[in-house]
Amino acid sequence: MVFSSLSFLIFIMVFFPLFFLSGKRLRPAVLMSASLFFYMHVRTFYIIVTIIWIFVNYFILFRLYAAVNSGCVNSRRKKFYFAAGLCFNILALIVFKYDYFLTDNANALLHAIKPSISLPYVNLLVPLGISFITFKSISFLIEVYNGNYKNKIGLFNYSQYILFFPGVLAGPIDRPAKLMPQLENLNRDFDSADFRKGLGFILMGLFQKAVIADRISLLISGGLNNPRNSTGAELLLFVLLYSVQIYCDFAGYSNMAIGAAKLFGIDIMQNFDRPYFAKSISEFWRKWHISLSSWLRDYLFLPLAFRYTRKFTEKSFSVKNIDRYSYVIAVLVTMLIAGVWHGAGWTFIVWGLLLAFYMIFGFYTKKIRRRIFKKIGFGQNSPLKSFIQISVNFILITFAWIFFRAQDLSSALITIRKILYIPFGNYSPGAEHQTIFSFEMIIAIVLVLAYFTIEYLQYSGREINKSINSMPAVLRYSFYFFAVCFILIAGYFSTIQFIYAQF
Amino acid sequence: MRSSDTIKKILLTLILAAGIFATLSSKTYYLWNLLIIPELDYNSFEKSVRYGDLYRMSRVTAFKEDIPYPPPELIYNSVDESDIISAGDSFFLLPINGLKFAAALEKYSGKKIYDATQFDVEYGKRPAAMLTIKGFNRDKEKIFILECVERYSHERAKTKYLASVNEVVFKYLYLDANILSLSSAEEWLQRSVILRTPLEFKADAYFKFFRRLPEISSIYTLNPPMLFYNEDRDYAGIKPDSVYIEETANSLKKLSVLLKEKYNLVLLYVVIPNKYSLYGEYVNPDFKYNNYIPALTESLRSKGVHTFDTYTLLKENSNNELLYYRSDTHFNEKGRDLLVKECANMISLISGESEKSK
Repeated sequence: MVFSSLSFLIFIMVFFPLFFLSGKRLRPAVLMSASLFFYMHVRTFYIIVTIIWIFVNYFILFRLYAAVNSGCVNSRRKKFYFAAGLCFNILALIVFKYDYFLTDNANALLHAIKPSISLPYVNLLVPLGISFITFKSISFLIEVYNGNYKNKIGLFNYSQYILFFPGVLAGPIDRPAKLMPQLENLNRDFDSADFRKGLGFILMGLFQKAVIADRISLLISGGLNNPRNSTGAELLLFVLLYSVQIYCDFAGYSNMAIGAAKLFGIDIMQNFDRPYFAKSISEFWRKWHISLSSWLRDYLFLPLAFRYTRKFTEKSFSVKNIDRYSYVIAVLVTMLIAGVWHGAGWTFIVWGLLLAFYMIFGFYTKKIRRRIFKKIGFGQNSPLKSFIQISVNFILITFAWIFFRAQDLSSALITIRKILYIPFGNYSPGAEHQTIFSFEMIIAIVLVLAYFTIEYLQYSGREINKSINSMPAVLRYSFYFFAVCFILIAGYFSTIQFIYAQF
Repeated sequence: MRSSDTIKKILLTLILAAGIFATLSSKTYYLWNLLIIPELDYNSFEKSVRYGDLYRMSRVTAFKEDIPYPPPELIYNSVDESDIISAGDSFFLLPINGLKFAAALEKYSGKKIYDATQFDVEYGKRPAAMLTIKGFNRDKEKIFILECVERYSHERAKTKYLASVNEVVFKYLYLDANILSLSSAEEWLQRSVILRTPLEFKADAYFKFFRRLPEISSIYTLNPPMLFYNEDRDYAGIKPDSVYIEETANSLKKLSVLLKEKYNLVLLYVVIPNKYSLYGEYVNPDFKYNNYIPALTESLRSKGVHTFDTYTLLKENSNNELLYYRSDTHFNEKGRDLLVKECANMISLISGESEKSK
């Protein structure tokens, strides 16, 4: 169910009032029904797989919890259940999500050896939100294993945590320590302030999704799907706009998820913090898809960089460079997994490795860059320096998105080659092709600029929300009314799926 | 109880009532019909005209096409008494007016047909799974017509038709209860008088000012007024090389062998051209067809799989008439008739071959 659809509106119109009108004892059941309904809406079959998944995970988690709390710090049982939980989740993810990718590549290899041999596709129906469910499950395992989560875990509440509808399809990947206590205690009364805030987030998300992201999608999809049919100049504009599209699409989804949860009085984590105003790739990664990047940081990067690779690199490299090499290996592994997590394809692997390369390059050139800026005469807080850093960062990120968006590596390379060498081809595109000079393209660019101006004002410390809230009631509600009208008139409410829902 | 609490409860109850009404409207015949615009609804038999699927998505008046709609004639033969089994996707549920493909073929060929498509289009995606479920008598040889639209042909042949696990999974698909689907409630709202005026006004205004249609049907031409499905246009950008063709043909060959050995069925594969493949030059004068269907036909024939070149057939026999609806993705009666005649010829040919081999 797409958050920006009429289906979701009807869904909320039924379950949100039902939640508060039902007695406090019934609320967990109502919320669970809402989550199950949301999940089963597309295909009932998905829930069968997911329920088995939850049962197996819960069984392992339950045993792990008992082993951790048995008093023995390094018990074998604890390690066994932890390893079993990790293996189960990772293997299941591979089987469900990477079947096509692995079979395709295995067949390509087999074909080179003996053309008549080929492996069949398993072709399983992939449960919705499988990547997010896996990361949530692993998150719980790690928190319990490390002794950070000490509360008792019931099967019902655990299922509620995994299936909680606002984040089940595309995150945010909330940590158990934050979400579980809220799900265990659903006794709060209907709060009109929460309701207003929730609607505010949903409206903001709708604006990002329907007015910006989907508008851009209509303008650039044809060109990016068939880069051969566009000039380099067009493709350059399309990839720049794609950077905006993917941000507004995913941030829009996250805001609507936050808003939907808020309607039920539940707080889930922010997923974006104006990432295109980051001054380095590392900072961008801290501000983009925060729930995933912090997950990767806490559960993969830091353990790799400071624990495991240290042992490994002591044997392989000189001790003098140990931290550098640890960093390099940890970044490479983390970003490779980030790439693979997004999708089963070489384009995502290249995207992940490219980001890793940026980060490593940035790490090694930090001192040199600092010296150059000093020589030019830029101070610590020079606006021009910030502008250059933000711009360079945006260009590098946009370059990486080319691989993320491309249907295959050759399309990505064609796009890059055309942008670099053939900016103005003599291709005559015909009526089906969106040219960069259309009236709607200009409108889209104006909207994008307006949106980023608002983000810039927020970035530079202006609190726009507070200004709106401090308006007299008549003005405030007029503002809301016009905002809704504007979104309905200027938005595209088609069936365009959220980009991150496919992961 | 404080008055503000009472007001909150009343408001929440009103929201709930509206939500339940919208949900029930999509589930119950009487409520569905209460506010619906019949000609925008496939399920309703009340009006004598219909609109094409692309128009129903775009709602731009410039592309409105009244399609006469006599009630559909369906065929109800059992699997065992039939000479032919047909399965496909939406093309076999059409044209909008007149006889459906299988019914027209039955009339033209004089053979009895079991049309699986009218029960579920999933059969056309997973034929092996369907046949396992049906468990028909394999003593008598039958012809199995498998239809697929051009844009899905490669993907389905490569990944779906032969996937063995689907035979198990397929059964569970029936657990999908429509009762949980809110998309029908959404459809009801969009086709109801409630949203008719604002939706059509907005669509017309966007088209007037921006020449823009919703993404799914955003490709158009005004001379003649015609809409195209986006996926069709995207597929036209693919250059099917020999590997691509061979992948499709090899999978279909495997399916053909499997059907013969396991079910005593002779496969007749019918790939229907995308609308854009036939009429792309109306949109883009430089358009050149990627030649997928003729190349696949040649490859399949060389492997002994029965098929025919639908693209060349439709392209060369149109007599300057449109064979597809202007406002719909699918063929019209004229397009259907050309394909039905050729299908019937192929059936005679296959039957003749079978007789000879006996």
